[in-house]
Amino acid sequence: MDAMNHRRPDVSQEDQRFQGWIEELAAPPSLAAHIFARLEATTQLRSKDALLNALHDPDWTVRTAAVQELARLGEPALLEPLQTALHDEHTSVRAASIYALGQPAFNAPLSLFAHALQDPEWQVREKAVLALARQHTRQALELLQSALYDPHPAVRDTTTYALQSSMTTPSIEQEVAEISTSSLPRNLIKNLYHRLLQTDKKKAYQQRVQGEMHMPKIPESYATTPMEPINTPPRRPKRRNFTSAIALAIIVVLVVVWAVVLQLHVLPGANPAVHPTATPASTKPGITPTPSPSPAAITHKTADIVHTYNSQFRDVFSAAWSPDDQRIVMVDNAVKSWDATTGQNPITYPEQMEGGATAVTYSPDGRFISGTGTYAELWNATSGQALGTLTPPIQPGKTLALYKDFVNATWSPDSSLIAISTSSTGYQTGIYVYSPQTRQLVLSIPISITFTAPMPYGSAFSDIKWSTDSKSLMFETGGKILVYSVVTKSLVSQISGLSAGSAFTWSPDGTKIAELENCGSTQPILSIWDSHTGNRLLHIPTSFQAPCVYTGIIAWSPDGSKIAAIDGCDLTMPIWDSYTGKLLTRITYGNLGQGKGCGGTSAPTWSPDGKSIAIATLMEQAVAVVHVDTGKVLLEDTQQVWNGGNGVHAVLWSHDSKMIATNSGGENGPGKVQVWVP
Amino acid sequence: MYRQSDDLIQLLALDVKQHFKLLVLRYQQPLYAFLLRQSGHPQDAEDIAQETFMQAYYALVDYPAERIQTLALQPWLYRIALNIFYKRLRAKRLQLISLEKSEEIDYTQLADEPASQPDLIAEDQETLREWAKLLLTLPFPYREAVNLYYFAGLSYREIAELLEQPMGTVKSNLHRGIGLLRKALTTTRLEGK
Repeated sequence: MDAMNHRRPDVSQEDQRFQGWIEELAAPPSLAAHIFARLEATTQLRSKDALLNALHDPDWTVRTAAVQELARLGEPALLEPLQTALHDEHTSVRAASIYALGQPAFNAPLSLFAHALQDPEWQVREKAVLALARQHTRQALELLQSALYDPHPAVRDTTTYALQSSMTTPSIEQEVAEISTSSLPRNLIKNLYHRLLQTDKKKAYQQRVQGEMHMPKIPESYATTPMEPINTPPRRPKRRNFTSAIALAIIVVLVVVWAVVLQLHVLPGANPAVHPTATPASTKPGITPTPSPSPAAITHKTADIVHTYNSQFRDVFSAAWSPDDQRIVMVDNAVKSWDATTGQNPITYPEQMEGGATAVTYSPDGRFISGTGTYAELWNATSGQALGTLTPPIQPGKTLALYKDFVNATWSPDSSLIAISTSSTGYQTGIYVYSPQTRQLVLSIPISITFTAPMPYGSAFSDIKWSTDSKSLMFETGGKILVYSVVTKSLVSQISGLSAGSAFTWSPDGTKIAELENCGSTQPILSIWDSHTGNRLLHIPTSFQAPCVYTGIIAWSPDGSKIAAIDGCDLTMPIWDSYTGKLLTRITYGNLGQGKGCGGTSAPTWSPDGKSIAIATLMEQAVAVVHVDTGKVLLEDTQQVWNGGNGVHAVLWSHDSKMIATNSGGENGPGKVQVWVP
Repeated sequence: MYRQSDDLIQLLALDVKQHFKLLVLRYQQPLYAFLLRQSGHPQDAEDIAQETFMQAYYALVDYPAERIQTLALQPWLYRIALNIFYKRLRAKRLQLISLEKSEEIDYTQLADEPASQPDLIAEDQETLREWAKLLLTLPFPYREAVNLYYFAGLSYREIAELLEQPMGTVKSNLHRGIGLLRKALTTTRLEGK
């Protein structure tokens, strides 16, 4: 049987069993007959007038055929009707139109292709890619590059093909081949060389799409004329500033290290007034004695603040590093970004909805900035251009209340999707996945669960965890782990048995989830669950005594091997082995600063290299970086202004673990962002 | 005359208009059967198959020959077909069997049961007919997986690429789908007695 020829070789016996059944499902003869008849009908179109009339035919196949035939005529005057066909309701007509407009004879404006790249149908976006590949211009290549981030794999595949085709087109290669023998001006040579290097960058983007993160660096001597994105301002000369700042920082660090070594080995106990004795690892009942080095030898280092942003507003609500660690985006009374180590080259992102953002972040690829608050907004990170808002459905009869209704955003690892979660009275509670490219809703996951226990941090569900391939996401709600595919737009699996009302934190790879049971209980149990099977892997008793608002803020190490938690009353930070449940160490931070008493502490923030943890304590009035293995305080700053609920909101590591940033403020101000070199 | 789809691809790369009929003749049967199993309605299956081939034709006409040569034809066709299928489903132009019954089953308990392993599904003709009917009661992720693997004959990798899912998800859906089918088959037979 014909249908059998393409089967897997390993199921030949099954094929025989299915053969009879498949025969019962024979396609009706009318199927092929109808197809051939429709194809034949479209070949009757000959004259230009007939083709133009056919663009309005009720049959989409006739309209598509007309577009393709008109394209073959290649007359510039046909630009307008083909442009009109771009708005056709049928996917194939739009796809054929944008491909037709890719003919250089039409000299179609690039905005048409840019628009087509945002079409909701992947077939149209794919043809827009192929059309751009026919252009052989620098601007077209720029647009092509953006399609590497398309949410649909077929479009990404075609883009890869198109870029490879562009690589082999003679236009660029020939130009470069002639460089050595020509007498071209050096600037032009640099430009041509740069174009080739840019294609290397495109290769790197392709690798990035496939999960690799290597980005070849452009030699400094040739990186003089970068290709700018369309409609974006010239790139800022930040590399040089950054390099200088790093060099300066290294010198300062070396000097400080020398001073510390001198203090340790030459002048022991030189500063007993500040830290006269070591703090015992643990004196609480029920706490396992600390098996690893105690935090006795605390060696403080004065913080090296590289840059301080002093806000004119009372608070900097949120801040985030760019993926390349060169910029920081922040929000006070507006969303802004600037060079991390100098504050230079500021960009302000225009507010798109009243109420604005109170949390900001970069997309993982650094192209977008998302701001969330009462609404979710998107901007182009480099140009500052507003890209629109993402508005989840609002409950019937309800209106949104500024600063009471909130949304949160979680980017997929490949930046192709953004999940907006809502859990408030105005919005319909749920998770809504959008494409940042098209701003269209890709998947809705409404959640309606009646809770009998307190909800963790006032939310109906845990943080959202994307799969590494960005094709599914999972979250906990009501004691269940739900996994949804954004590809099939369906529930893939659900696992029950977890405690509703607990606080949950995903491991970095999403294979496990840590559950700290009911916030109100004393000595709550920390459980580690396998997120795929639903099996409880570990059951760890804790010593936490205080209400959860001060305790139980837990964080996985970047490699997932350890879990750190904050005991805000005990003023210690226990760290467990996430595989065995063994308490590895308990770092005391209670002797930092001058304050005493039970108070708020920021979540422990692991450095990306897993060696250090940064925290900010409200009552201790300090920001500190602690070495995980030795318990030593590597850096502390007790000069923060803390009053009337003001303080440091978060401590943020740069991706290379070389810097931290803090954002602070409150009702009484002042708001600021500080960048440090630990 | 071609025998392998590679030959067909070469012919299409040479001239789509001339050789497209071969593609229709080659794939109309499996595609129609796939869509019939997916939708359960002959007319829907025929309509979607026809639409699929027409869209495929106009897409291929504009593809450069090199691009055609990189196509995996069958998964590509099924991707277009599923696209149309789900689009019609969203527009409620398809009549589908209610899934309420199957949604009551705890899918998570099925993956490790020996009976749910695909390699154990050797059945007689009568059973296969029953399976085909019960396939329509499966939730879409499981229906797709069983349909594509067992009936359409695609490999795990092809299905994973077609559905844009990790291989593990495909296997998991397949195992759970088979488990549900077995359970439903047992129930049906008991009720029949």
